[in-house]
Parts: sequence; C-alpha cells; structure tokens
Amino acid sequence: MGVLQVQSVNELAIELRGVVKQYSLETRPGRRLWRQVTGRVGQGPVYQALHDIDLEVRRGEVVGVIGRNGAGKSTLLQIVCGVLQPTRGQRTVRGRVAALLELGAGFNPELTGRENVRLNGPLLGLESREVEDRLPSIVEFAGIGEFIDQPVRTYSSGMFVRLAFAMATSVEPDILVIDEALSVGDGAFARKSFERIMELRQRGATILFCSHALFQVEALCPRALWLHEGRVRFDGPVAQAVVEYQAWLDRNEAGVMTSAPTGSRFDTPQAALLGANFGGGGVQAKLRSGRDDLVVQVRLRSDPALPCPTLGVVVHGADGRSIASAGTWMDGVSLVRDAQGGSTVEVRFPGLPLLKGHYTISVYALCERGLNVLSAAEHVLTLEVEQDNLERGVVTLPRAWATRAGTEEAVA
Amino acid sequence: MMVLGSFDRWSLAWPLAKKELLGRYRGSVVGLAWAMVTPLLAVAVYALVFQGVFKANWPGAQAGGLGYAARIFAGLAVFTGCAEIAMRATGLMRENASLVKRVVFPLELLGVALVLQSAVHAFLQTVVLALLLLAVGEARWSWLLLPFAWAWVLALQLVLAWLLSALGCYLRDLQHLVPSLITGLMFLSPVFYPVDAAPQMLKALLIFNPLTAPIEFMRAAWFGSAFDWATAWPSLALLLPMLAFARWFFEHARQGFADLV
Repeated sequence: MGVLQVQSVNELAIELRGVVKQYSLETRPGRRLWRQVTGRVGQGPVYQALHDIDLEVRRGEVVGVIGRNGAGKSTLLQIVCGVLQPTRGQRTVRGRVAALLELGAGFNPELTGRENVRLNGPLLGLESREVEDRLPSIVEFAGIGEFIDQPVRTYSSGMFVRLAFAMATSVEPDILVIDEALSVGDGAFARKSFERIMELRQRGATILFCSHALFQVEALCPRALWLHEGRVRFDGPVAQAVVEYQAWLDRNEAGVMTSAPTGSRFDTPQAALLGANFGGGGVQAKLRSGRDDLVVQVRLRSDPALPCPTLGVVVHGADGRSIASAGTWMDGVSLVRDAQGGSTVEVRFPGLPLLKGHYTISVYALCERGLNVLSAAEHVLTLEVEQDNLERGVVTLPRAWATRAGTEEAVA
Repeated sequence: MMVLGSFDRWSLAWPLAKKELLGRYRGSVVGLAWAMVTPLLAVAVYALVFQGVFKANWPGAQAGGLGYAARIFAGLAVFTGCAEIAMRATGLMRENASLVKRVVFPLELLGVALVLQSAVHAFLQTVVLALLLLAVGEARWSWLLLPFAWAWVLALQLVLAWLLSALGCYLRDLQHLVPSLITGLMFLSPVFYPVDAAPQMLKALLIFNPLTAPIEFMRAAWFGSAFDWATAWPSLALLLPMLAFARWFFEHARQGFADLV
C-alpha cells in the first residue's frame, strides 16, 4: 500500500494484519494448559504455521490460494473463517461467512436430514422461519427426495455431502471460503455445486478458494496467493502466480519422480474415456523429430442428456512435468457425438517440434467450460522421439538468422 | 460450515440440547420415558436393599411405605444429574471435535446444552416424584422452593461442565479418574442419609462437598425437613464467584482446544 490508498477500508471484506499462528508442541499436558490459560503459548516448543501474513481482499474479489501440502493454506482459511484464532496479529472480516471446510460438521447421524437442517440452521445464522422457507429448495438442490426424512446415518456419503453443501450455500453468504470442496459428490452434482458457486460470485460474494487443481484456480480467480512454508511467496495476478508456482514445483519436485510416472485413471457417470492411441496405432510410438506428425486419437462416451464435454491432451516430459497441452474448448472445437453419446476425436501436431527423448501423453475429458475433470487417463501413451541432428533441449523453435559485418549496434 | 454474524448466542443452546436428547432416545421404544424409568428402577433397588435387607430407616420419616425411597430419590436425582455432567464434560470437546475444529461455534454453549439436558431430566423426575407424593397425600407448601433448589443445582452443574470440559481437553486422565471419583463421592454425599445422621467425622468432610448443601436444600423443599443455613451459606455464596471463574477459565483454555481434539 503506497501513497494512493483509493478504496476506503470498509471496501475490504477480509483484512489480515501481521497474522501469526503457532501450534504448541508442548507434550506435558499440565504445562500446556498452564501456558494457554496464562496466555504464554509462545514460550516453549512451537510449530509456526503462519509467519506474519498480511492479506487484503476487497468486496467481490475472488482469490485463489495455492501452495504445497503443509504450506499453511488450511490454517489461513480457518483463521479467515474464525475457526482458529491467530496467535498474534489482527483479523477483520466484514460480512456473513460461509465456510465449505468440512461439510456436515454439525450433523447428528441419528436425526433425519430435515431435523438436522432445522437444528443446524441457527448455527449458520438463519432464523427458524428462514430455515423453513429454504427447506424445500435445500432438499431440491441436494436431490435426496424422501431420504430427507430418514436418519442421516443411512445416507450415502454423496447424499450427506450434497445436503450439507446445499445447506451451507443456502445462506447467501457475503464471503465464501472453499477448501477443495468443488469436487463434491458425483459428476452431475459437482456441476450443480460449481454453478451455485458461480451464481454466488455473480451476486458479488467475496470468494477465497483453495485448490490443488491449478487450472481451476486459474479459471476462477483473477488473483492468487501462493503460500510457501507459512509465508506469502507471491500475491498478484493468477497467471503469474501459477507460472511461478509451477516453475518452482518443476524445479523442486521433478527430481522426486525417478520411476515412470503413474497417473490417475477415472471416469464419472458424465463421461468416460474408452481408449486412446497414436492415430489407429498402439499406445507406444517412435517418431522422428520435425518430420513425423504426432496424432492422438481418443474415443469417449458421455451422457447425451448433459452438455457435450471437452477434451484436453497434455504432453509430459520424462520427469512428469507438462510441456505442451491442447484443449478443444481453448481452440473453439466442439465434439460431435452419436445418440448414445459416443464420439471419436483426433488431434494432429504436424512436424512434431519435440526433440529427442521420452514423453508421455495424458488425456482428459472435462466439462464444457474446461474446469471440472470428468474423466482422466494420465500418461496413457508413451512416446519416444528420435532426432537426426544435434540440436539440444526439449523443443525446436522456428527461427530466422541474420548476420552482417562489424560490431557497432544497429540503429533503429 | 458456519456463519459469523449477529445471532443470539444463548438461543442456540436449546436446539443443541434438543438435538442431543432426540439423538439419544431416537430408536428406543419408550424414548424420553427412560429419563424417568431409570432413576425409578435405581430407587426401587436401593429401597429394596437398604430398607428390605439392612432395615435402614430415614430419621424423621415414618417407617415403611414411600418415605425412605422418596428421600433417596430426591437426593439421588441431584447427585446423578451432577455425576452425569461431570462424566460427559471430560470428553465433551473431543465428542464435538468437528464443532471445535471446523466451525465457528460458541463452545461454551456445549456446556450450557449439557446442563439444559440435565434440566429436562430433572423436570421429568420432579414430576414423577410429585405425582408419587401426591398419590400418598404428602404434598406441601415447601414445594414452592423446588425451582430455587433446582436453580442452585443447575448453576453448580454449569460450573462443573465448563471446568471439566476445559480441563478434560488437556488432561485426558480425567476421563478415567472422574468415574471412580464419582463412585466414592456418592457415599460422601448425603444421598442415603441426612447430614444430621452422619457421624461427626463424616460431617466435617461433608461440609467441603459442594453437593451437600443443594441436596439437603432439595430434601428440605420436598419434605419440609430442617435446613441448616449456618453450615450451608458458604456453599451458596461461593456459587457466583465459581461460575465467573469457570467462565473465565473456559474462555482462556478454549483457544487451545482446536489443537488438542
């Protein structure tokens, strides 16, 4: 904050000043209790989860939080929600906060869904009349039908989460804090919940969003915060944050993968990848750099009742890092499918610009916005590239050389 | 999930207590009636053993009939109420770990809700005993003091709930220690005998039991027996300071709960 402090302080929905969070590592319970009650937690062994965090989030801003496990992301979100108290520093939050940290935290398994909603309403800041008004829409959104009058312990985990999510977001919060909650339930519900969040964003809710899926953060949040070992390493435009974070990850974690990368493989009721190959060939190929075309053919099936999914292809180096990618939604290509939802897609990279080495290819089916992964087949194809020249590096770049005599600088 | 905001904090305690009570008796055939049946059964057993086997009699009550059992019931209702609070409080924060860790929740209400549940049980037991005594024609004006007697007991329970729930979070040994303490304390409380009938040495000990005065007061309200203010007043005078201390202690200890449960 420099000389120009344009917005008034009340524009800020979330304000953290010098927030420090220490966890006591004291093992003697009596000593620990004494320190807590006398307010001297800082003395004795502590683990410092957050160092001096300053954060300002304006009303209506959407901020992503990225960082490795253990970087302090959850602690930060919990402090913003008020679940944890900072050891030092100041926390100011203006407006009603809904936290999607642990869905259904207050539910009693013996009671029915309806009773739980009624009894948890006041916890979310709803009057009992407001709860009654919203009950039908909550039940409808959760899509659990007559199960609402069954004890919650009989619910499937999906139903439980759906009811909790429907309830948590029904309060129309000013500030929404989301910790990896976008992947709730099955495909159809993940989509609905995502839309609910977008709706709240449209209405001007401030959102703090934490996810390991960098592409989700990039698509949702104009601004991102990169936490590293309890400190803010970067705070600014999301594109830059993701690039810096990704670069750091590549530098520091690439070496960890020594054996062949094993990726995840899953389908959802919304879409399933049936197969991928090198343009009619097998799942292994040997291509000549700059000469052969790389062709990837994918067959998939999707639910014809839902909008057509999109397809993404990612090329990884031998260390697992992403080198290049292509997505139908980015290139404005729509998939064509038959009445059963089956379709075949082929993508061609002419004159393969990769240099010699081993590569793997991942294939993803995503929602129509390219945000939720509906089906993934990571590292399904393996590619060996041969090269008949001595060029070094990973890719060959198009180029033009120019030369002239003399050493004086060219005048523009 | 939770919301910060302006809501009347204490109004939350009742839904919470209701939730617990509903959950506890859900699925059992007679439901909340267990709250009345359990102490009645206990009293039947005690009456049978003490009156039938040991031929014990309550000083000042007519022999046989309901007299002895009713007096045990009155005292026992106070004692078991407090004992249950003490036992449940030690594990209260761990039991509600999700509220401690994941939700902004006025945690002091967990203790309040515990006491409210106890109040519901107390009310039902009072109704049972009142009906029994009415049936044998032993109603008295001193029953008007019963609400005060219960207020005393419930305040004491709140002190117990706050102190033990905060302590139990740090000192897990309490969970094992408290039940055995309670068994011993039962005989050091004037439940099966009035203070007057206790030997001199026991009397000296009874003064230090915070349950002594409210139990005696409760019986005075039910049966019009004498109540010795001279020994009981410190117990009552200390009630408010103890409540304030318990509240203060809980507030200071709660910051550490989330790291411990």
